[in-house]
Amino acid sequence: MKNRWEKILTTLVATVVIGLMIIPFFIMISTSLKSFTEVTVWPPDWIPDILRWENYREVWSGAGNFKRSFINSIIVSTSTMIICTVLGSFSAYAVSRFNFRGKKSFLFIIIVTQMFSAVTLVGPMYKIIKNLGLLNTHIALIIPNAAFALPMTVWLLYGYLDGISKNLEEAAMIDGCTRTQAVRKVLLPLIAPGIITSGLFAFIVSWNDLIFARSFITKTEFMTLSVSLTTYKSLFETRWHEMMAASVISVIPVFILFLLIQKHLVKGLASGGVKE
Amino acid sequence: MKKEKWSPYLLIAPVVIFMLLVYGYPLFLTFKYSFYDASLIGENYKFIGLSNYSTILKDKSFYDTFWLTTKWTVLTVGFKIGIGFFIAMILNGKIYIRKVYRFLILIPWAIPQVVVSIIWTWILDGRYGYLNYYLQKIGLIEKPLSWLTETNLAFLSTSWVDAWVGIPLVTMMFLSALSSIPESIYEAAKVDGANKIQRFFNVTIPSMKKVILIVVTLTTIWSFNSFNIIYVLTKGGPIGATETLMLKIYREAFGKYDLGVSSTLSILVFITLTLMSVLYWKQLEKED
Repeated sequence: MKNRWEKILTTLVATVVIGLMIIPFFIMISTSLKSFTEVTVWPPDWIPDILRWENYREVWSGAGNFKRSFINSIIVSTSTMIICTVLGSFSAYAVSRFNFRGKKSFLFIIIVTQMFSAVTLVGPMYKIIKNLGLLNTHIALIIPNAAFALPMTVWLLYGYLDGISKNLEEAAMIDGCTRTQAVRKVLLPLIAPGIITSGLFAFIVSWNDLIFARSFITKTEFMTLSVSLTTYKSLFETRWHEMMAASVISVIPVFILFLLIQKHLVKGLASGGVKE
Repeated sequence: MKKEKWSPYLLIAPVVIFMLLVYGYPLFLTFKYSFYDASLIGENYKFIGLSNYSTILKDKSFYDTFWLTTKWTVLTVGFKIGIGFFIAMILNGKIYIRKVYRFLILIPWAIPQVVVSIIWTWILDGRYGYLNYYLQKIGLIEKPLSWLTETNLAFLSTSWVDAWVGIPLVTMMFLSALSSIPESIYEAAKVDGANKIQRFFNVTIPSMKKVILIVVTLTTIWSFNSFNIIYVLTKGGPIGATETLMLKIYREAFGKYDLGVSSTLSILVFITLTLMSVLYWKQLEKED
């Protein structure tokens, strides 16, 4: 009996603490469905009388060119994801399946790159991109984002591959498969979840990027969501219902991806630190 | 199998080449520009030796920024570790629907940082913000506070919002360590007559020492490098109250177009972070 009460009490504490932690998420959704006048009403109304879904439509096709930014973000993030998974898979395979000189240094450097922020490299990168005449292009965002997401992609994939026994491929190779065949037919189906997780991780990194997008893009038609949102913020400081609708729209894609991969991602990232 | 001797190198070559070009080369340029009088937009460079370094190191404002960054980092890490550990303890205890909570706590982390900052700008709004309303309601404050436009409050607010995003991952790292402490050690301590608090300090904390060290180091690096949250919330203001090194580096380059000074600051940051990681490796080795 005592144990049961303890369990109920702990659950109650958990509800309060975690409830407080995630309230901002609900404030975003609730505000996004209000009207301009409702936003400034005190006390704040948690559930508006009329849910104004048209806020979303107004933001989507309104003056902020939000639709274009959304498409830009999709293009940039998808390309980053493809580059990272393709390049990353080969490296992760090499590190997990072969013993070679320089393997340790390679892994060490992979980790070290994670230590420095994009801010410290964005100045020189701007120079290079400008000299190549690539300012205001998608490439200008895709390549730098890939460079910052790639190390973690390799690391996550490496963690996955290491969890899968070599024996399977070796057995296939003894049965007459070449290494390529063994990888394609035996290994690939097994690490598909790992590839998807690390790919989506790269997608999210790129989706969240503000620094590159802010520095390399000046034309509205190439802006990504993070830049649009920050511009929006300074332009429409008081139109909170529209700001929140815009926020919800830019959260949705990452949120869905996140739901799909959270279990694998947390494990991979947590062990990434601990493995050291 | 001899043929395969070169295959690992061929396989890692794409990543190595890509990273050398896109990460390594700008890194080299940062190093180079720190010895030059260089502008972000102009084409003229002049080699000036260690001038940038001596200008910065003689300037009092650099130490102010460094100190501010340190204070901000310590506060943010404190929030992250303190609250993260607390939530991990709760989630590791006996509770109903644990899986649901474990999932819900990840929400702050799943929201893009720009959006996080926008949500919190609204919550912390000086006139209509939710925080002011509820704090007034429960009687903690008398009149609305300007959370983002008053210097000390802005410092606290930016730190808190950055912590808010970081707490989920910290919680998860602690949780995975907590759940791997074998139940039998607790049972043994119980038999020896240790109460809950004694068990916490004599069993939980010692078994978590290594993980705590790792999490502290990682969150310190992440918080030190934090940019997006502060940039969107306050842009480093009001009057520089939240201008950490990262924001200064960005403003030197993209506000004042002084690539030389900006690069020099970056190099100083590299040195700081490298020293920090070396200390971390040393400490980790000692633990093993």
